[in-house]
Amino acid sequence: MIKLTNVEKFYEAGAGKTWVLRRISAAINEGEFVTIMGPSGAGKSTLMAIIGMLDGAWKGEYYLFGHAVHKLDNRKRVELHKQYVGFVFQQYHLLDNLTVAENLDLPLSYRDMRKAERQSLVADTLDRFQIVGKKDLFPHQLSGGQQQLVAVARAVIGNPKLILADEPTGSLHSSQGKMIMDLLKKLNDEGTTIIQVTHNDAWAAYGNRTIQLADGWIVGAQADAGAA
Amino acid sequence: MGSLIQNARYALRALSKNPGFAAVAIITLALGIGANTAIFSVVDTVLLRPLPYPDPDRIVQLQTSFPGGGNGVTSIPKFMAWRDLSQVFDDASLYDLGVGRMNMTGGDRPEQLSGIHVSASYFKLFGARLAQGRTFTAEEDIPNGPRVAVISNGLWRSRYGSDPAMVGKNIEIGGQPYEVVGILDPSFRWDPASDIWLPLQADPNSANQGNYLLSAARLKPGVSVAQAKAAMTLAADQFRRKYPRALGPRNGFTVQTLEEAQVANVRTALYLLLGTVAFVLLIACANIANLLLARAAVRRREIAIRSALGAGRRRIINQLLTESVLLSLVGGALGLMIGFFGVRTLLAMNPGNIPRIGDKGAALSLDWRVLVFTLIVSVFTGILFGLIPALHASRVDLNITLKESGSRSGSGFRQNKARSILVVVEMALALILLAGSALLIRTYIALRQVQPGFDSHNILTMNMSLGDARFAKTAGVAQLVRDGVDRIDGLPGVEAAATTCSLPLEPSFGLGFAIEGRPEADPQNRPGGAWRSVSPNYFSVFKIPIVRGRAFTDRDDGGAAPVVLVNEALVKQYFPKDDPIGMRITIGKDVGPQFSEPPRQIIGIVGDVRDGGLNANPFPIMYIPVSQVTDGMTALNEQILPIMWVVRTKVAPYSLSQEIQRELRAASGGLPVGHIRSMEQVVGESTARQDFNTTLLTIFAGVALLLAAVGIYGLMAYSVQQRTQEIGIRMALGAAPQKVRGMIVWQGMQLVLAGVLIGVGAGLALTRLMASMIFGVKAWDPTVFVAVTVVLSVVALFATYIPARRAAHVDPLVALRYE
Repeated sequence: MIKLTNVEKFYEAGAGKTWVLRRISAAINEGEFVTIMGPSGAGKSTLMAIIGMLDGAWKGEYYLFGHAVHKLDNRKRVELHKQYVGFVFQQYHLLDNLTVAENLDLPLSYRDMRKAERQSLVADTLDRFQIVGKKDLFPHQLSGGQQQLVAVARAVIGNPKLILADEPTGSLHSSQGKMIMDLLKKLNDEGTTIIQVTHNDAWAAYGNRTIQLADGWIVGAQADAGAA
Repeated sequence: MGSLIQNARYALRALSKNPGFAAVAIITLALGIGANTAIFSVVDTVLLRPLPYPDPDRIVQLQTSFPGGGNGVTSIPKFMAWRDLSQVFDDASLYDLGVGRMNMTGGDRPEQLSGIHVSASYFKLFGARLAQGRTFTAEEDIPNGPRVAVISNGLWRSRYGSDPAMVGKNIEIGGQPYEVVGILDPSFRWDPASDIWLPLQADPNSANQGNYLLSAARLKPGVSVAQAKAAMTLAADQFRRKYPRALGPRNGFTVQTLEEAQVANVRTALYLLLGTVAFVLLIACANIANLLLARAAVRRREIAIRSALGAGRRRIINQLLTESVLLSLVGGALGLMIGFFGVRTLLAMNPGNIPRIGDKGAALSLDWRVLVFTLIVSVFTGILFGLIPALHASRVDLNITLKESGSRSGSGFRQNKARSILVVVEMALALILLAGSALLIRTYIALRQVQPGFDSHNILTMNMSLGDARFAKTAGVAQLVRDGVDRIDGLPGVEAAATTCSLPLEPSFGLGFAIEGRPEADPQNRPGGAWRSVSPNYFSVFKIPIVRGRAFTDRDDGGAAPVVLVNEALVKQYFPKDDPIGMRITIGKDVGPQFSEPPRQIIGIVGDVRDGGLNANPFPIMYIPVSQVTDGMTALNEQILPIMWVVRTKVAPYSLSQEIQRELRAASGGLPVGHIRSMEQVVGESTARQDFNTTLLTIFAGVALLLAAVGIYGLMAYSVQQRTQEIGIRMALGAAPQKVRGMIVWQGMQLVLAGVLIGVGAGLALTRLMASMIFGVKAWDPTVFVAVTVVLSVVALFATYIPARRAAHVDPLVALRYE
């Protein structure tokens, strides 16, 4: 499903270069729950951004569902992103001016879906995540856990095959974190491929495999026993 | 469409969350768009709206051409030559200037009304519709034809209470009965407005070469202006053969569309004002673009999230542009009101002598062109100021932005660079407008410093139409003048009284003359000058100096030897080496029987008066005693121009208005007077158009200065906010507050300096376009450019100093914890 070969990223810094990722090669299969770990500055988020096609300035080869991402222009990458990828961020990144329902509607509106179809999907998702009662609230009226719940709901509403979760529990306390991780696990069980970044070993254990990064290099990979 | 509505809804919500930003942006836009709507509504009324006649672009004014231009005023013989050109013209018509007044007598109280004499074809040419009755027949438009009249709908309603049986009734004009044959439909408008139309009854065999009428015709179907001009050229050759002294070899006949003839002299000024307001709008755009760039920095997170959720760059730009256009539409709606009513108010205070604008700007209306213009300007403005910030915002680095925790984030170099460039552009545009405005203000001052050649203080003027059999001949007029002046002179508070056929600074007509003892000049080079008939005390009333010789006295009457006074400009031009006093000239020779008179002796030289306008050099003038004017000329004068009474008072001039009117009614047997003005008012009206331009340009320059100051203030305030931490570090490392203040001020003033330099360069190039609008100052006047540079720099310095002062008060401890 995902195949990275010698993916590299650097910033020009004066006469030299500051490397962020070095010769990253990895393969992730459909249905996997992969955890990326590593110290701060290791390149975890950058790797997620490249996989999610939020970052276009890198070198190497990247195949996603057989599409050679490295050969695509930005417009086609946006299309591929819309087709396959859902994002969950540490800071939730809900839009403050939009209600819960409108936040959920946003990614659908970017897929040029008819309004009736979007409304039906939003209603289904609100129901599925049991947040119907909060649909007209604004993000600041929700707790952190509830906001991240909405963010996950927003990530899955387009039925993506791949969810990229960058420290999804980083801003939550443990019980809220567990709720989100359980939710991700459930989505994974239903067939969605998940890649998460975390510093937390307990949350890493939800995945079936870990990729360790340090200073931009892959320094280790291990298969986990399974879900906690 | 759905996404547009959604974008608009989200945009409305986003703007309502930032009411301060929205209010500043909307007010700025309302000022910018309002200024454009204001000027466009004038341009629309004056230049764009078709004349209110059928096929207006086919109506042409028939003119006499001379090297460098054409002149619309014409004579009966010329018109007769043009009327025969039936292969190119239909409905060729002749009519007077419409500035004469008619005395409506026969009622309780005589009333002065505006009237115009027209040939029978006039109504057909201008498509005049009738409410009742008919217009003139060809049989009524012959010399000594029947006394018939067509009246305006307004007069019919106001004076005759919409009498349904008005047609066929007689009205009394100048003591003579006229049968009303028609009442015009209210849709028919004439400029200047008229109450009464009388048949011109021109004699087709007239040899009167006096140019005091206007002529227009409709081009025949399929005939172009060029073909009409060619036919007119041939007609000129024939005319010259018939009247060799009436048309010089370098003169000819030509046509000009009536619309062009009416508005040509205001077009440049109006387009210049339109260019000015475009600059104001550009400054407003730059300001809001700057605000949006600052706001985009705050909104980077939102934009990054939208991108991460699949919004393409176009969608992001669409969303941001929807907000900008929404802002500009609201600003545009407000601007429409401000602009339209603003310019109406200004025109009500000063109509500016602009043609087609109506009484106090009444002709201005919110027609579809003004609405469409404002809509297009609003949408275009929204896109213009929204595009750069939208393009910037859509280029956000998602990876970095999404990793940032809060909404507060620094802006990149590129963004500040864009904002700096916008401020430089604002400064440059503001400087150009300030320079333009300063040139007009200097013109205003220069015009008021001009010595007009007369003293306008404490003079009351009023006119009296003499369309009455008692004053058909000069003797009757002379008697009236003597009686009137005697009566007025007897009033306490009056210093001197006199009459004239036209006031200084107002139009008069010119005549050629021959100098006795000199060989006759060819028609092209014949001496000539403005012709004024005046009563003896005219020069005392206006305090026009008698340079040499003597002024007129009561003894210079019809029975005395004919005399004339000339001004210094005439002497300089035609008697550069001779002493003209004692010499004799024959005025109006060969122009027509009305003008034929014996030679006159020059008895004195009077000081020059700037009769062509305060901004024009004095031209030659001849003054004739009113009691020595030929009877034919008196009759003609009465038809064209009313007699003007001028009274120098020792008290406030208007305070004697009632008494003077009473005496004049008594002297004239009840004739009404009208158009009562002080001479200072007359002088003011002569510069009304320049004053109107000056007022507008000064207002716009003021708005530009304010917007530019807000622009530099906004940028520097934002920059200080961005650099709080840096400033804190600098201060923690020992930078003194004044050092920090200086650093911020210098940063801002560098932009000001760049803007000023560009503005001076562009201003020097652009103010040349104003050459025809300025007086007493050069377009590159160094004082103006230095002054506006200083004004703009000082204002900008003040605007920069406020945030700089704030920066100097940064507490390093607080700043370093600032996240």
